[in-house]
Parts: sequence; C-alpha cells; structure tokens
Amino acid sequence: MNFAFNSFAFLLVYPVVFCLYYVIPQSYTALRNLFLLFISYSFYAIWSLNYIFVLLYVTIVSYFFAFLLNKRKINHTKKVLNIIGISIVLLPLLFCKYINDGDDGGSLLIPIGISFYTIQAVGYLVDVYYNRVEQEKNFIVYALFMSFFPSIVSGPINKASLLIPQLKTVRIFFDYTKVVSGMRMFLWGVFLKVVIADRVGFYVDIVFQDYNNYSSLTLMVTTILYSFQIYTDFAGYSLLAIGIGKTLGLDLMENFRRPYFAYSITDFWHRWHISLSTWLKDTVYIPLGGSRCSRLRNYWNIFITFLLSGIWHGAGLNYIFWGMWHGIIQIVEKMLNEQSCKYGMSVRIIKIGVTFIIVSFAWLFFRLHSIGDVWCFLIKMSMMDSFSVYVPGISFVIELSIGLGLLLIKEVFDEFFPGKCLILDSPYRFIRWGGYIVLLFIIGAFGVLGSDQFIYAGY
Amino acid sequence: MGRFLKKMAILILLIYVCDMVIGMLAEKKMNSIINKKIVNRATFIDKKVTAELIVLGSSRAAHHYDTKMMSDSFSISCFNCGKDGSGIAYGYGLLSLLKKRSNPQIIIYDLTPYRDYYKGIDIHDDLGMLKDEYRNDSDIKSLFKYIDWLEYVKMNSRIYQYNARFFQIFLSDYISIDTSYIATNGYEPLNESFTYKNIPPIPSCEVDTFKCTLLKDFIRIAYPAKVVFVVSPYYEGIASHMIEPIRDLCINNDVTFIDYSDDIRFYHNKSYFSDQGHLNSTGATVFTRDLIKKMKSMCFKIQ
Repeated sequence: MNFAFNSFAFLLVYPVVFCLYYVIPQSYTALRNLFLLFISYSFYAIWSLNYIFVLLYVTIVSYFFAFLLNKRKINHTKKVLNIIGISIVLLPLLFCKYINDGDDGGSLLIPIGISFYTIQAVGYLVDVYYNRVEQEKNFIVYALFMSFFPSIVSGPINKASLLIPQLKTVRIFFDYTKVVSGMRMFLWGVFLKVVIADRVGFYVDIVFQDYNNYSSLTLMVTTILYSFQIYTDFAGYSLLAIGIGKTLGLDLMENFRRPYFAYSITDFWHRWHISLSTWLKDTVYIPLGGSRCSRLRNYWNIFITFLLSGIWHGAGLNYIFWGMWHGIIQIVEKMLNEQSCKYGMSVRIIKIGVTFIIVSFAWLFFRLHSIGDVWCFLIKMSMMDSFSVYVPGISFVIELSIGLGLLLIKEVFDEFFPGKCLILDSPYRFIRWGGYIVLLFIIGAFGVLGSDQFIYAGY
Repeated sequence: MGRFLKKMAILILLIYVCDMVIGMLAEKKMNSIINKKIVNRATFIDKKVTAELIVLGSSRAAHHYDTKMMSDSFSISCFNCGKDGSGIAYGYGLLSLLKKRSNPQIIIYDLTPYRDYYKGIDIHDDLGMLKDEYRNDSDIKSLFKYIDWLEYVKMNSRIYQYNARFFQIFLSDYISIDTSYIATNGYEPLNESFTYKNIPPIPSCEVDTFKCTLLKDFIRIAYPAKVVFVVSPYYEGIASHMIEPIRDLCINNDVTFIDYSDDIRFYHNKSYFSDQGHLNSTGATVFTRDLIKKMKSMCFKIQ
C-alpha cells in the first residue's frame, strides 16, 4: 500500500494516531514516547518491512558506541572507538548503496531512509565524541530519535541536541498554536508536492526520456522546471515532515529557506537542505579544521566536504561530479570574496540569477545519471535549432502557472517583505480560512493525486 | 483541544459545502458539453458511440485499426475507441457502458501484454479515465471498489472527480474541437516516419491476477458479441513466452486470438512504424487489411 505522507491512506490513518497520542496524559512522557516509537516502527514496517532490522542494527550499534564514548577525555582510545563505531554504523549503507550496486544503481536494494538515519547516527556519535551532547541513556528515547517517522524517510536530519531534549521533557498537553502551525505547514507542503512538483514532473519526465527529439528551447525550459521540481518535491516533503512533527508538539529542524534566492553557492547551502549542510559542517568540515587553518587547507576542507556530500547522494560519477562542482564554486567564491552580497539590489538580483543558473546546471547531473548524458544534453541545448517549445496543452500551462505563481509570490514576500503579505498566517481569521479553502481547492482540482514518490526518498 | 476540535469540525463542514457546490457547477458544465452536437473524440467515445464493430485498447488500438476500411469491408458500422494510456480496466468499464446503449456484434480488443496481462503498468491509471461515469453508473462504481478501495472512497469528493480537468471543462467554449475522428471512424493515423524513442524496458513478466480477472470479466460481459483479442505488430516483436499464457487464456474462454507480435512482415520494418510501439498509417493499412482477411477466413458471421 502506498503510504507516503501525501497519500490518502496516510491522511486516513494519521488523525487516528494524532488522537491516540493526545489521549495519553501529559505527565506520561515515557508512554507518549513509547507510543511514538511503536508508530514509527509500524510506519517503517509498511514502507520497508524487510529492512526494519537494518534500522534496529544502526540504532543499537550507535547507542552502544555512544555509551563507550560518553564523558571520556578526547584521546587516542576515544578516537579509535569513534572511528570503529562510525565504521560499523556505516556498514549497511556502504553495502546497500555502494557495494551491492544493481542495474539501476542499487536503488532496488536500498532500505528506505538508510542514508538519512545512518548519517543521523554518525552525527550523534561525533557529537558525543566532542562532548557536545551526553550519551542518551534511555534507549526508548534514543530509538525514537533515530526512527521518528516524520523525518526518517527523507529528513530533516535531526540533531540530538535539538530533538532529544524535546523528547525527554514533559510536553504541553496540547499546544494549539503549534498544532495549527504544523497543519499549515502540512497544507503548504502538500501544495508544493502535488500541485507543482508532480505536475512539473510529467513534463520533465517526458522531455528527459527523449531529449534528442525536442528543441533547444524546450531543453532550457525543462532544465529550469526540473530545478523547481526538485525544490518543491524535497521542500514539500520537508514541510510535511516538520508539520507532522509540530502537530505532535515537536520542533524539527528547518530544512529550506528560499534557496533560489541565494546570491552565491555558499549562501545556497545555507538555504538548501539545511539539516544536511549543518551535519556536514559539524561532522566533516569542523573536524577537518574548518576555516581555522591555512587558506589552502580551508579550500581542501570545503572540497572534501562537498565531495562527501556528492558521494552521500549516490555512488555514481555524476553525483561525485555534482558535489565537486559545488565545492569548487564555493572555493572560487571564497578566493574572490564573493560569498556574501555587499552590493545593492540590482546586483543582488543579477547574482541570484547567476547562482540559479549554476545550481540548475548542476541538477542535470542528478537527473541524467551519467556525465555522458549531461554532455549530450548540453550540446543539444546549445544548438538553438528552433524557437518552438513543447507544450502539452493549455490546461497544463494554466495549472502550472497558478502553482508556480503562488510559490513565487509567497517566496518573494517572505524574502524581501517578511510579514507583509500573510495569508495562512494572517492575523485576520477570514483571510486565513479563505486561504485554507482556496489552497485545498487548488490541491483537489489541480493536484496530481495519484503520484507518491518523493525524489529524495530514493537516497 | 476543545477549541481545536470545534474549528476542525467547522473547517470540514466548509470543505464539504465547497466541494458540493464546485462539483455541481463542474457537473453542470460537463453535461452541457456532452449535450452539444459536436464533441471531442474522448467525449464521443465515452458518451455517444454506438457501432456494430468496436475496437478497444490503448494508443496502439487508436493508431493501428483503420475502422473506415473495416466498415467498408464488413459493411457494418465500425468505430475505433482506442485511448492513449488505457488498459483492460478502462476497456472493461467502457464496454459495460457501451453495452447499455447498444449491442455491438464484434468487439476487437488490442491487447498489450505488459499493460493488460502482466504486472508493471499500473491499472489505477484507467480509473482516472472513468471518473466521469462514477456517479452515473453502478458497474463503474463497482469497478472502482474492486480495483482500489481508497480510490472508491476518494470519489466521494466531487472536486476530486474532476481533478486536473477543471480548465478543460470551463474553457471548453474557447477550445476548438478536432473533429477529424468523425471521418475516420475514430481511427487516428500516424503519418510520421520512424523515430527510435527511448522507451523504458518492459517492467515485469509476472502475471497480474487483477488484470487476468478483468480480461475474463470483459469476455463475460461482451456476450453475445464475438470477442477477438489481437496483439498487433511490434517493431521489435515480443518474446513468445509472454504470448503463450494469453493464447491459453483465450482458448480456455472460447475467444478468438490473433497474434501479430512475431509477424516477419512487420519485424524491424521501419517503413511500417512511427516508433517501436506504433504503426504509421502505411503499416496500419497493411495490418488492417490482413486482419480483415483473417477475420473473414474465420467466418465471422455478421448479422
């Protein structure tokens, strides 16, 4: 059964989970956590029953090694223990994703969410190693941190210092503001996913499958649309996850902050998959020395960090190239001192455009799966053979325009005029409720209500 | 929590009312489109077609069977109801609707093995093509319930029934209607020369029991019309082990089965195809002519 967060099956089941959770009295924090753990493992069993033991393995191993690392002075023994612990935790991920490579990159054999919960465990071990957090002695709490169902499939990657304290404290019985805020995020996440991402996906899939038979202009349009597809798909999912967490009274990490308004690649990574870039900074970049070293060493640290980011996304050369591309651009920005934006609005807009083009080019490596294909695609795109653009139909154009238009308006206001054009968050009830109804209508009328796979669920 | 539950109840009520109102408006507009003299091919097939020989199936049916030629040859009315992306669930649903407004004598179903018999291509897509009939026809409602219980529940929403078609419905007065299908009895010839398309590999050779059951039900409800299952030509042919189980199904259910999947006249013959899965107009003419000859030699009695 399809049980993605935007599926009808989940929408039928989750209200029951929600009600049962809030039936448990406020003071019974342990019981609430046990219930959430049960639900998390049940949902995981629905998504990926055969691999539930991989999740359990990673949880137990990381719990054990955190126990060994806890409160020790940082010395050679602790370092060795940390390396051994991380290596053992990484074994299933390395095997499933990189060694046991099937015809389609091994994705058929990858337990769902393994990339996310594995690096979450690694991040936890590194935090315990550096004494940033204490080992969580309560196994139920730790297991829940590892398996929390909203975020296990595609993130956000949770930090122990943020989530575990929330799980341990006595939560407010029913935080009305948080629940409503969570539902708004969920609604907007569904809109991003089914109205924009999936609608664009139809067009993008058709063109990418057979790009040699389409005009250069169509390929340019497709490249731009794919950038929006991957953003709205992933950001939509993250909002669903964060929204669900909020309805249960738990705050998960923000994962996206209008990334296509970034004025540099450095800034882009402060806005895109924020939980991953935070993890990379805390677990890879800072331990390597970060920026507290020579310039050359700093460039090397950036390069390695983003090379690892590429490898995390996939075993193929295309992902490695993608990671390296982002790393190299950031090094160049640092060399030229162009990471920030010290200029006026007009230059900022130009920088935003240039950054968008650089990022969109890099996304081709995600979509086309081989460097050869990307090369052929770019050659075809540069031919400028025709000014015609493939258009599936006027309805498609209108529906897509509505979706992208709403997204753009919201993002422009949030970025440049924060607090000025609130609809779902408006202080006026009739505007809020009007927004809910209109958004629900748009989802019901124009959303792709059959598709259920998130792009990042394959990682 | 009481405040939250109260507001949720009001919101759900508001959603229900909006769903009813908007759905009724869409339904009214839809009915006005159907009642027009000239409608598009898809609407004509779903709502109006009556003929003595009907061709059903996917885009391969739409592009392969020259029903004008068949009509001239058999001297009966023929119509090509092939629909892009459709499978046996749509075919079954459409047949049950057709039987309620006419009595076709011969039903040709162009069978696509990986779409109509084996797993891989999702049967749920067909339900989307039958949404218009959900409220009007109990057989279609039962089909929804049989294939996907959740889809059956979702169809209680009127807005969902017209999902992704609102603009087509409300802008129909401004969109010109292609009526070329009338002259060709529904047949849609492809005039392009051969282009090799990047088609995904055949997903699975595992038999889909849902689809098998629907094929048998299709045969059952077609009675007393004669049913012919045809596998029309493929550029690269189809492995015989994929065809044999289908042939056995036809024999066991007393259905005529005509297989062109390994016909050497079509195998790797670019002049007959527009891509690996579809005949062009030249190929369709050759194929239809040969099919007519075969059917006549099988002594198909036409009353």
